[in-house]
Amino acid sequence: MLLEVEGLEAHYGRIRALAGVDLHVAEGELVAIVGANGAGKTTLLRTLSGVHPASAGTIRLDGRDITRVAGPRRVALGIAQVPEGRQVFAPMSVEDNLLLGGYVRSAAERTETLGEVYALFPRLRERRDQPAGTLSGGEQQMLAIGRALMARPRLLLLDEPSMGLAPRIVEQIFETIGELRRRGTTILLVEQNAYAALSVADRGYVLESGRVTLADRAGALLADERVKAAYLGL
Amino acid sequence: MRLPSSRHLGLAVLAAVLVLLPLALPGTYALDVLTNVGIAAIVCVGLNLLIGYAGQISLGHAGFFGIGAYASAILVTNEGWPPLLAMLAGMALSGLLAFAVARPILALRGHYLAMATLGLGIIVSIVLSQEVELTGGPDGMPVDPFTVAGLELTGPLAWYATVAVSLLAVTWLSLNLVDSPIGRALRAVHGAEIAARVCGVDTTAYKVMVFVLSAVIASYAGSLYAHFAGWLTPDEAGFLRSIQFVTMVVLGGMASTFGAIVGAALLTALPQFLTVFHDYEHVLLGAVMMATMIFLPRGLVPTLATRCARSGG
Ligand SMILES: Nc1ncnc2c1ncn2[C@@H]1O[C@H](COP(=O)(O)OP(=O)(O)OP(=O)(O)O)[C@@H](O)[C@H]1O
Ligand SMILES: [Mg+2]
Repeated sequence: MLLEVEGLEAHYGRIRALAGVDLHVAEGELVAIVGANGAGKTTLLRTLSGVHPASAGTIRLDGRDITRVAGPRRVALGIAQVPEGRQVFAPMSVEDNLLLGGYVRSAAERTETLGEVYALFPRLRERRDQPAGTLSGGEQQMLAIGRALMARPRLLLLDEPSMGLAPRIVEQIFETIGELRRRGTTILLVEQNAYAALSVADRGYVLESGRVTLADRAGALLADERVKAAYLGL
Repeated sequence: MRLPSSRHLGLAVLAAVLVLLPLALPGTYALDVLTNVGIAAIVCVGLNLLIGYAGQISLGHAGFFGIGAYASAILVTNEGWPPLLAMLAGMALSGLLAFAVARPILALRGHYLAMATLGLGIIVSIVLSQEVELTGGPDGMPVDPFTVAGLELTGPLAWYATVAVSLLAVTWLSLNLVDSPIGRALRAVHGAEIAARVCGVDTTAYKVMVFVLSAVIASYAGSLYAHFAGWLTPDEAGFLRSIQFVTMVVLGGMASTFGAIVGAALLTALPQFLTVFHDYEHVLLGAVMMATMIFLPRGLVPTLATRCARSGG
């Protein structure tokens, strides 16, 4: 199992944002986590990437306990995160953003991966010298994904890639996610847009108030009455 | 990508200006002022790395300047150390102190470093004033000349040349740092901390490194100043001196190495040449800070650079 999470808890001061989460992701899988505002989705990803400390539970990558490994080191171990709201380095050029994404890799690997990312997102190549802050929202999302791919992750964490984007752009982004999945990238995808997420995913989890309340194959979740009522607006 | 040639061009221009200035402004007095400008500029280039690229403010950099200056004064004049060794001792002490302060504080977010350095600077200047036995207290102490292998550094031109070469070296170091992978990381620290960390950049470690580096550079400049001036008072390590350094960086343009030099030049030279300003130096400092924040929030050099680029093409 690539990622195994057991009893994971996280706090902001005294507020408990994660209340014992169990989940796993196998190599090559695309797993979606859906849930309402404030359910703890972002906190979960931040705790997995080590940006936020876990207060209880364990995170294992490839069987190795990484719960106490510092965030920046987890990138070298293979966890890359696309943060919520994209967070591109606005004044820096597109290419510098990407190169920084490959920070933990060797120069040779960076050059090679840069070519692959440009092949995946030709638009980024066209705009390589432009300051990242001047890109459109959709382009910035591509850049944020490309930047994470530059780290050559074994596990890609995606936080709300559809946030604030027009439906046509959202479609493109999800096509890209599907394409990454076909190329064998293992992905943990967090989304409020439950329909889009579960449509591309293999499996899914429903997160409510920091707990996993449902876990199933994505198709089964899409058909589940409770999911339909709460998250699909049906 | 920034072209490497623009970096070399900037350095070449700086070198040319440094060579031409003493020809354009001959005379002992002018050379002394230029040397003071250069010393302040060395501090500001280092401080600019911290403010402009790591997004952290130090309100106590004069403390490190003072540690360097007094390390040279005390160890050379009182203890008879070779000046070069005393200078290195001061740099080591400043670096260690900076590390000890920054390591726990920079792990926290926000402007805690500003508060901590404010405290540190005040402590240093109080200690220097109180330790009358060692430092002569508020009246100050004399400093022996700078000698290397029996050769004494004397005369305004020799001093100017030494400081100019030092400034070039520090500028070269700073420009290389800014354009290196570390530099990209530094700009990221400033831009989006979370994003930098998920790229694998240990932002805390970088902030600590830059802070230590800027403290060591300030200490080096302090040692030069002590020997150059020949007389040292605790004012050199005081709060107002710290504010002066910050104002120079902000006026010249944060995140602009050459801006830091221009800021240092303006705020060092103006009060010297226009004696009217001298009596109101502190008022002037506050006014410059406010005016910069309101009219030129990016600072002089970046603003002018954008203007020129726009009108040029
Ligand atoms: N920095 C913070 N300080 C305090 N509380 C926080 C902080 N960030 C999140 N929280 C709280 O933690 C809980 C989980 O937040 P989180 O951001 O993980 O939710 P989310 O599922 O990602 O929501 P959204 O869909 O709106 O992005 C919420 O109750 C939120 O108020
Ligand atoms: Mg969220």
